[in-house]
Amino acid sequence: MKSWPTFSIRNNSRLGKIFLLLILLTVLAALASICFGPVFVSPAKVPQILLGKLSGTLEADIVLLARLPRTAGCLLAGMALAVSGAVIQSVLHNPLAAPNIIGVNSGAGLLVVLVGALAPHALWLTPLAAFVGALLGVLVVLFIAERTGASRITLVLAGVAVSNIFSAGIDAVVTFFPDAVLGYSDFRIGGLTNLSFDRLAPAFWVILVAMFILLSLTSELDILALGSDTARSLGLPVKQLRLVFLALAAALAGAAVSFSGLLGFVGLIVPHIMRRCIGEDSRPLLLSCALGGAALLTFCDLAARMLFAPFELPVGIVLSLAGGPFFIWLLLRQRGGRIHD
Amino acid sequence: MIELSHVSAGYGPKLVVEDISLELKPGQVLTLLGPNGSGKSTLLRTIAGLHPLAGGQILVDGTPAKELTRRQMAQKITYMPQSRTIPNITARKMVLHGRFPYLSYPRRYRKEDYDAARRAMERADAWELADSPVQSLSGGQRQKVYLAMAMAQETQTILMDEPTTYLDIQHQLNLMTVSQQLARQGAAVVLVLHDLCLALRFSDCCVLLQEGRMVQQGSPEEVFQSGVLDKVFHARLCRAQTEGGWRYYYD
Repeated sequence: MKSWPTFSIRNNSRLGKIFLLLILLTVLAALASICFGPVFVSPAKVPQILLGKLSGTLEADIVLLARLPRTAGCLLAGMALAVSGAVIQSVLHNPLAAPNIIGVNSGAGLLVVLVGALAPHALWLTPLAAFVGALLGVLVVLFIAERTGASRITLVLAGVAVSNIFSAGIDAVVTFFPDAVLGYSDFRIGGLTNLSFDRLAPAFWVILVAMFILLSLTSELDILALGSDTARSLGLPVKQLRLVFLALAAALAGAAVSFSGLLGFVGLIVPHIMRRCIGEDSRPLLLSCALGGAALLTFCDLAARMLFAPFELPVGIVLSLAGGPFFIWLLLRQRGGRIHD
Repeated sequence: MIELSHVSAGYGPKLVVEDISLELKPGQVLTLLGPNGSGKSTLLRTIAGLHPLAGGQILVDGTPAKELTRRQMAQKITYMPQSRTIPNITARKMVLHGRFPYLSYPRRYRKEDYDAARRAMERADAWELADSPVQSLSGGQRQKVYLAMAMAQETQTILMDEPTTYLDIQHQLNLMTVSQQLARQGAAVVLVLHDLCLALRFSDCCVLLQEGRMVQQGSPEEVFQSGVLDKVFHARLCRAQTEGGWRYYYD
C-alpha cells in the first residue's frame, strides 16, 4: 500500500543522490577553477589562502584577485541564468523559451552598453540597466504570448525577432561608441574576464534576493505550470503572479548579463536536463538548476582558459560547442516525450 | 447553489452567450448541449469566473460572484478544462494541487490535504496510478487523475468541459457514473457534452443552447419529447426501453 508523503528530498533517495552529485560537481568545479591556470595552485593551499595564512605570496594574489572573483562570477552567472530559464519556461509553458533565445539577455545587454556609452563612470547603474533591459525583453515576449494565445512556435519566432532587434541595437551602440563595453567580443559571446568582487557585488545581491523570493513562491509556480485556466480555477491570481515571476527571472538574467555578457545555452540546456532528472516539482527543479548551471558554467570557463593556453577562448564559445551537440543528442533521445496535451 | 440571471458573455463586442437564466442545483447532473459554437464552453468558463460577464449576474450561494475573491470562488467551484498543460509530475502531486485553494502562505500541504487527496484518488479509481508521471499515462488514466484532482478540491459545484473527449466507451461510462455518484452525494455537476445519448441517459437536467441562446431546458424526458434536439442537430434521435431504462441512439 502506498503512503503519503514522498515529496521532500529527505524522503526521496533518488532525488537525494542527484542533489549530492550536483553539490559534488559544483564544489569540484569551483575548486578546479581556483586551482588550475597558467600557475597551478595546490588544492591543499586553497583553504590556507582563503584564511589569509599565505597573504603576500604570488599564489595568494592570483587566487584572491583573479581566480576567486572569476569562479564566483561563473557560479553566480550559471546559477542565475539556469534558474531564470527554468522560471521563464514554466511561466510561458514553453520549453524553448530560454532567456537568450527570447530576447531577455539581449534586452539586458542593450541597456548595459547604452549605459556604458552614455554614462561610462556610473558603474552602479549597470545592474539596474541590465534588469530594466531584461524586463523589457520579457514584457515584449509576454505581450506577444498573450496576443498570439501563447502558440509555442509563434512565441519562439517572435522571441528570436526581438532578440535580433536588441542585438542590432547593441551593435549600433558599439559602432558609435567603441569604448561602451570593455572587451566587446567577450560581452557579445559571453565571457568572464576582468571580474572583481566590486563588479560582482550588486549582481550578487540581486541574485540572492531574487532566488530567495523565488524559492518562497515555488508552490505558486507549480500551480502556474498547470496552465492558465487550471491555475485560475485553483484560486491563483495568474496575471499578477506571471508578471512577478517574469520580473524575478529578468532580475536574475539581467544581473548575470551585467557582468558575464550575453551567455547562451545555460538557460536552455540546464533546465531541460534537470526537468528530465528531477521532474517539474518547482522547488527541487529550481535548486537543481542553480547547482547544475553553476557547475556547468564553471567547468566550461575552466575549459575556455585551459584548452588553448596561454590563449583564452570566451566561455560562450565553449558553452555553445559543448552544449549544442549535447542538446541535439538529448532531443534525438527524447522520442515521444511531450509537454502538452 | 449557483444562480445565473440573464447572463451574457462574449469576445469583444460579439456576444457568444446571451440572456441565460439557470439554476445549478446540488444533487443534480446538468448537461449543456448544443452544436459546435453554440456557446457551451464559454458559458461554463463564465460560471467558473474565468470569462468576464458582459451582462446579467451570477450568484454563488446568494453572493454575487464578482464580490468573491478568486480563492473564495475556488473553494466553491471546481472547473475541469477540456485540455490542459501536462507537467512532468506524479499523479499524486497533481491531485494534491487540487487542495491549493485551502492553503495559506507558505503553502505547505497539511495532513488533511493529503487525506483529502488520497480519498479523491481512491474514489476516482486512481490510487494505483499515484506514483506514475502524468505524462506517461493514457488518456483514460489521465482523466481519472484529473477527476481525482477535481474531487480533492471538495467544492459543491463541479464544472467539466467535454470530459469524455478522447475516452473509449468504458471510460466514458465510468466518468458518467462517477458524475452521478458525486451528484447523489450532494454536488451540483455540470457537464458540457457532445454525446446526446450519454447526456440523456445520465443527466437529471439538460440545457440546450443554439447560437448562444437557451432553446430548451428540462429533464431528459422533456427535452427528448420536445423534438428540439432533432431540429437543432439535424439528426433523428430514437430510444429503446431496456431493463436498465431508456437507451438513446441515432437513426
